[in-house]
Formats: sequence, structure tokens, C-alpha cells
Amino acid sequence: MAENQSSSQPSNQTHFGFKQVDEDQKESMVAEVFHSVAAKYDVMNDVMSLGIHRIWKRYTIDCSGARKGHHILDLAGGTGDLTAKFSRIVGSEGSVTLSDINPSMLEVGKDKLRDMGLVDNIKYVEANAETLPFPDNSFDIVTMAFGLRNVTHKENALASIFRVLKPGGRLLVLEFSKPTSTVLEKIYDTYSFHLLPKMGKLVANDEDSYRYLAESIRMHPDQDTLEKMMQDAGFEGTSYTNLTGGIVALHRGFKY
Amino acid sequence: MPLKQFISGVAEFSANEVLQLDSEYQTYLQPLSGKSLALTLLPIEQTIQLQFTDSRIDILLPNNRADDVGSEIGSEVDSDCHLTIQLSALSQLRDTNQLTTLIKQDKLDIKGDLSVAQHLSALVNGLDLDLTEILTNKIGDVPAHSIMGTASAVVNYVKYVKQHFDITLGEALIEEKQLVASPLALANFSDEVTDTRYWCDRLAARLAILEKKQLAGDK
Ligand SMILES: C[S@@+](CC[C@H](N)C(=O)[O-])C[C@H]1O[C@@H](n2cnc3c(N)ncnc32)[C@H](O)[C@@H]1O
Repeated sequence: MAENQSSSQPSNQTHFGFKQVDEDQKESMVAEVFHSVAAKYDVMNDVMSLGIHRIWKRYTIDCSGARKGHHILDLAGGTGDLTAKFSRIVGSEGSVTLSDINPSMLEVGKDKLRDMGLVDNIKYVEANAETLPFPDNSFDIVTMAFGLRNVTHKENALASIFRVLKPGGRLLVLEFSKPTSTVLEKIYDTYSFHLLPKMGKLVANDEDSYRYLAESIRMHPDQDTLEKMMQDAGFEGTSYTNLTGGIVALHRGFKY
Repeated sequence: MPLKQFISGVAEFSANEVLQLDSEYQTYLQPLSGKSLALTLLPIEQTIQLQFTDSRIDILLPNNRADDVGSEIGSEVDSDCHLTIQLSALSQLRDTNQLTTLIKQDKLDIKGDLSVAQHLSALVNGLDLDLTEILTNKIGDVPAHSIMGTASAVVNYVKYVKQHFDITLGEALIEEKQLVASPLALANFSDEVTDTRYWCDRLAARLAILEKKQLAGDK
């Protein structure tokens, strides 16, 4: 749905929240947003989602099938919430690669994970999800939590992930989606367009970044569209689960 | 909101908080570090996986959905020790003497490294939660003792009030019994009232006579 909107635009234009911008501008604008929120990202995440993001992430990990010895890529991993838990699960025989396009987010993540005593099996790689710098068939699991909507060419990112996954590996995409009930959608709209930017201003003194976050959520493809995009990229056995009434959805797909 | 993950999140948080209360906890966690234990509950087919490091426990709920290719119960779970137990037998798990019986009755199945389960049992039983010591470490010696002193005074007072209340209530009930008048007492009371009225009437009559006499004298 939202994708159709963007594909009807001239090919060198894309959306940045509700604004139309040149495609080559979006990456640096997204970078600017996350650069400015990096330091307060974790606090804001808790405030904005009332802590529920932790439960969505737990659900993602529970669905990942991660086990000792696995090699996992936490893509657009930011401050490394998923990486922390994966690192403990895969143990010393496995590895977790925390990858993000934004060095500020990676730096905050690195500090946090080190403070938690997690050092041995974590690698940090600054990379664009559209052009992943890893060999083919490298990872058992790739996760992308709240990252895909920020990527300029989502289909390129999905193709790139497919390439680096091992046969039998799986992708999990945790992302804001479309609420299943209209009442919930109304409440949620009011919250994200009115309250959220105000909270962003209050806690992080950065209203614009949080307005972008709200707008980018609305422009992200809905559940079925994203599932179709995953299938187009080659994923099989795709499915999704709505969480919290579809405010968020967890999509899964396998590479066979 | 996924309720199960909410519960496992709260359980994980609480377990780790409790662990930190015992300064010796790392001694018990050390042998478990890097190991995992899964517990599958039947017939609800819910698996709970505990993942240990030398400083904390993670609680996972491995999710294998019906649409997973080749999925069967517990197939997602890869742990060093895997216990499968009937929910009804869960309470008997603490009693190690019962284990063989449970296995024979097909209520319990153990796969993998049994030492993980033994170390976990040692951890649970070994945790020594001395409240005064914990408070001393957190807020210092004097406040801890005064809090514990107050707490035990409160407990004693509550005990005393309860005991006192029990006695008063008992006595009140006996008194209450006596207040409920028997028919004999009622008849007695009514006789006394009649007597009193008789004497009152006699007194009134004598007063009237005396009054009359007085009036006649005055004239
Ligand atoms: C909302 S944060 C999510 C962070 C983390 N995964 C979490 O769930 O808390 C989105 C992240 O996506 C990253 N990002 C945006 N565009 C990206 C791209 N093209 N490639 C890789 N990462 C990207 C941002 O830098 C940011 O750290």
C-alpha cells in the first residue's frame, strides 16, 4: 500500500516520513536522525513504547530458534538489545554480528554491551543493509528490528539478506505495522502524531526526529505487502504474527 | 502484547534480582555458565529454557509454530539437559527420591547432561537470603538493624494484637451468651418489676395520706 505510493513517484524520489526527498538524500537524513537520537535512544525506546518493545524483542528471540554455535546477524541492530541476548545463547562457539549503518548507534551499542560484560563473541560492523559486506551463506539467522522502514530500497536489503543467509537459515523482521482494529488505529495515530513528538521534545529535546519516526511508521508497508516483498526476494515459508493488535508485526521467512 | 513473553520477562527480572541478593550466587552459577536447561510441560506442550552465564539467567520460551517445516514439540530446543514432565507431577520434582518413580510412571523424561539439573538444584537450595545482611549491604548497618528491629516489633505487636483479639473475642462471646436472657430470668425480672410497682404505689398512697394530714393541721 505505502510501497505503491512510493513506486508511483518519479524513480529518484522516495519518502522520508511524509516528505518526498531525493533517494540519495534519504540515507544521510536517516543517518542524521539516528545520530541525534543515539545517546538517548534506549531511554526514549522505553518511554515511547511504555517498555513494551522489550516484550516484542523477547518474542522475536523466542521465535528465532537461536542455539549454541549459531552465527547471527543483528542487522540495523542499533544499541544491541537483541545482540545481548543472542550473545549469551550462541556461546563461545557461535557469534553475533551487530551491524548498523550509523556509527553513533553502534558506538552506544558497543559501550552498553561491554558494560554488560559481553565481549568475546560479538563483532561490530558498520554497513548498509542494502549492500551487506559479508560472504554468501554466512549466517544461520538474520534479525532486523525496527530497521527496515528506514532503508531506502527495501527490496535491495531483502535480497542482500537472502544472499548472506545460509540455506536453512531464517530472517526475522520486527517492524511497526498496521493495527488490525480501526479504533486502535485512531488511538495509536493520536499517540504517535501528537504525544510522541512532544515526548521526544521533553525527554530528548528533539521533536523533529520523533516526528520522523512516527511518519516513517505510517509509510512502512503493511503486513501482507511486506510478506509479499519477502517472497519476491526469494524467502519461503513466510509468515507473520501481529503483536499488540498489529501495532507491530514479526515477519519470518526461510532460505532453503 | 504477548502475555507469555511478559510473564517470562518478569520471571527473568525477578530471578536475577533474587540472585544478586546472595553475595555467593556466582559460586553456584559458575558450574552452570554456558549451559542451558529446558523444561517441557505436558500436556500444554510449553517449553521453558533457562540459559546460564556466570552472572545471570535468561529465560526463553522457544516457539515452534505449527507452520514450521518439520517442527515437532521441542524440536526448536537445543539444550544441555532437557526435562519433559507432566504438569501434575511438577510438585513432586523437588523430591529427588520420587524421580525414579516418576520416570517409571512415564511422567518424567530426562535427556542430556543430568549434572546441569543437579547444579540448578544446588543453586536453588544454596541461595541464602539473610534479610538483615542484604539490607546492611544496601543501606548500611544502623538503618538495617533499626528497620529489622522495627519490623520484628511490628510482627510481635501484630502477634500480640491477634492473641489479645482472640481472647477478647472469646470473652465477648461468653458475655454475649449471658446477655441473651433465659425465660426464667425474664420471669424473675418481670416479678421484680411488679414488686417495685407495688411498693411505688404504696409509697405514693402513704405520701398522699401524709399530705392530707399536713393540710388538715395547717388549717
Ligand atoms: C529504530 S533503530 C532500531 C535499533 C534496534 N534494532 C532496536 O530494535 O532497538 C533503527 C536503526 O536502523 C539503522 N539503519 C537505518 N538505515 C539503515 C540501513 N540502510 N542499513 C543498516 N542500518 C540502518 C539506524 O541507524 C538505526 O540504528
